[in-house]
Amino acid sequence: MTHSIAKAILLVEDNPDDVVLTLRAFERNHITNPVVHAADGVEALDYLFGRGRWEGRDPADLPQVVLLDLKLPRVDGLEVLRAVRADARTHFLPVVVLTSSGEERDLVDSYRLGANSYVRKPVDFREFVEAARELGLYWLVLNQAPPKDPVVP
Amino acid sequence: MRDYAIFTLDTEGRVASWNAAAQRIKGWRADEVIGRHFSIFYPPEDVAQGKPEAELRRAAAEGYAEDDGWRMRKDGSRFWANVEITSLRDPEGQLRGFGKITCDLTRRRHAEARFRQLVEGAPDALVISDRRGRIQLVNSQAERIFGWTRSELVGQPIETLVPPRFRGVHVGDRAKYANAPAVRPMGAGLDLLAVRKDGSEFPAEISLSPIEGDDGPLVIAAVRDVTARRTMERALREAKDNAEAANRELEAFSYSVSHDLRAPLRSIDGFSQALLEDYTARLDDAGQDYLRRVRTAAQRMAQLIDDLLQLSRVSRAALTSEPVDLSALARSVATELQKTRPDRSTEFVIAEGIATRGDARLLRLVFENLLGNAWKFTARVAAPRIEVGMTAQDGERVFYVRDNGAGFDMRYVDKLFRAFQRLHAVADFPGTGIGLATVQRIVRRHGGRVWAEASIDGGATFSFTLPGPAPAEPGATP
Repeated sequence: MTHSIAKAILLVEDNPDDVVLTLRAFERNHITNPVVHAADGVEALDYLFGRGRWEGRDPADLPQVVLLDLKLPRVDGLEVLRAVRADARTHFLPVVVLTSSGEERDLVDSYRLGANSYVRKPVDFREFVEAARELGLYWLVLNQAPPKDPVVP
Repeated sequence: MRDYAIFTLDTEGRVASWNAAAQRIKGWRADEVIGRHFSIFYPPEDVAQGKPEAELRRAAAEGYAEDDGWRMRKDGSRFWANVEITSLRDPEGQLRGFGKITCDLTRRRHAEARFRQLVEGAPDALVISDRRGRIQLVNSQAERIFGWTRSELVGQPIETLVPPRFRGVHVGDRAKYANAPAVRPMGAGLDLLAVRKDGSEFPAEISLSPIEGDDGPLVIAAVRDVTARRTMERALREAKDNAEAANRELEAFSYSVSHDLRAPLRSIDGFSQALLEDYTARLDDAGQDYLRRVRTAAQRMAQLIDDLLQLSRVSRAALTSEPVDLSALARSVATELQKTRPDRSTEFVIAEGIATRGDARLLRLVFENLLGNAWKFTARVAAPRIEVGMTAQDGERVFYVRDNGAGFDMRYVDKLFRAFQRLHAVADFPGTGIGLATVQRIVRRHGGRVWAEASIDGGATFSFTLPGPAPAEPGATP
């Protein structure tokens, strides 16, 4: 069986502790996809569109899924979401909002701007590991990615 | 139609001729009265003062004398009369006698008196002005609110009561009103100002109505000093603005708490767990116990934060009103509870057909908290039973959740609904002490009350009211 290189997970997260814990949760669940970390919305968009630090990266090489925190420095999660949905290249990119907040307004805004899923980070690390397992199972294994060059209406 | 008594007097004041109307008004027949002195028509006090003679002298000197005053009928009764006396002279200018016309104005005088009483008794200041804008009549309320006396105002232009900078405009507006008089508020939609004698101004509400006067059209202006109301309106507006600002701050605060306060707890819990997993070999039992305590504390704090956010959300959220099937709602919450502990057997007795109007989501929270409590506090009894029902008390619908669990000491009932107050040790029954505060806030926002009755190990009943249709009396037909 030949393996193509697994597609990346883009983790957009400004809290370094959460980055470490998320990576640990992936590791616990044997999720081996490369994880690209963006510390704020600007870095996330630079990665996706091959700009700035990511100048020259092929934007067509989309990550498998974006795990997006909402409260971020410079450009926040909702603005990232808006930009991703507005661009034909990333229009169908799966985006999972992964955040601390359970505020209704965050949920409503996220879904309205086209989030595919909304997961509240649990404080109990064991629950977080379980959440990461289910996220990995769903978005990395079960979910069918959109076609490479979708015709965007 | 008015009736005029018309008769003549000789130069001495004796009656010389008499008409039928004179007989109707005064009661004397011609044969009784001719030749008698006309002072018989005057009340004794006027006669004593020589009023009849004085009037004749005036009429003789000036050709004409008019008087409004009391006169007497033959039977001694009095009437209010308008009397005109004209001197009669021959072509040589010699005085030959007097013509006299008397009219009974008693009814009109009563009408005027009633009108004055009405004007005086009106709760508003009334200012009556003529077509030239001259003040004709004011009441005592007008004296009071403007600080002028009646005699100072009568004859003055109505603009005396208008702040100087608006007087020019007012003269024009007054002319327009005179062309299209109607009962209407003045300056509809505008904040009108009036000015007192001392120059101070006050906000006024003014309504205008035209009336017909003896000498042409008049305008009645009813003026109300609305300073107190304006002050109250301003205070209300400010209170509303403040409440809205406070709500916005609470919103921002909650948002920050929701995002920022939980993150460090995830680090505390996550890295404690990492230590427990990766460094077990290097931690003795005490070390591992400490880390577990750290994790428990972090999770408890997370729960506190969530409950606090819910409490604040309950205050911030706009209240909706829709029909809510409380029976179905309670059943759904009960089912959820049973799912959390499928091994537990708890009898839920939920009355059918309990419904109300309210905010369905918030009312669900009420049942989540009350049934959650009942579930929690019946964990240790042999045959847990939780009942949801409704009764009528003093014409009010009372909803209740009753359990046969641990109950509590009624001495502490006052603390029950305060945030963070707990009547049981966390080790015995977990909880943050925010649930009942949330319930109380929701019930109060719906305009109801909530209370509790319990005894130690004798179960607890939580009751609440929600405003709505009065419950049907048992046996009453709809």
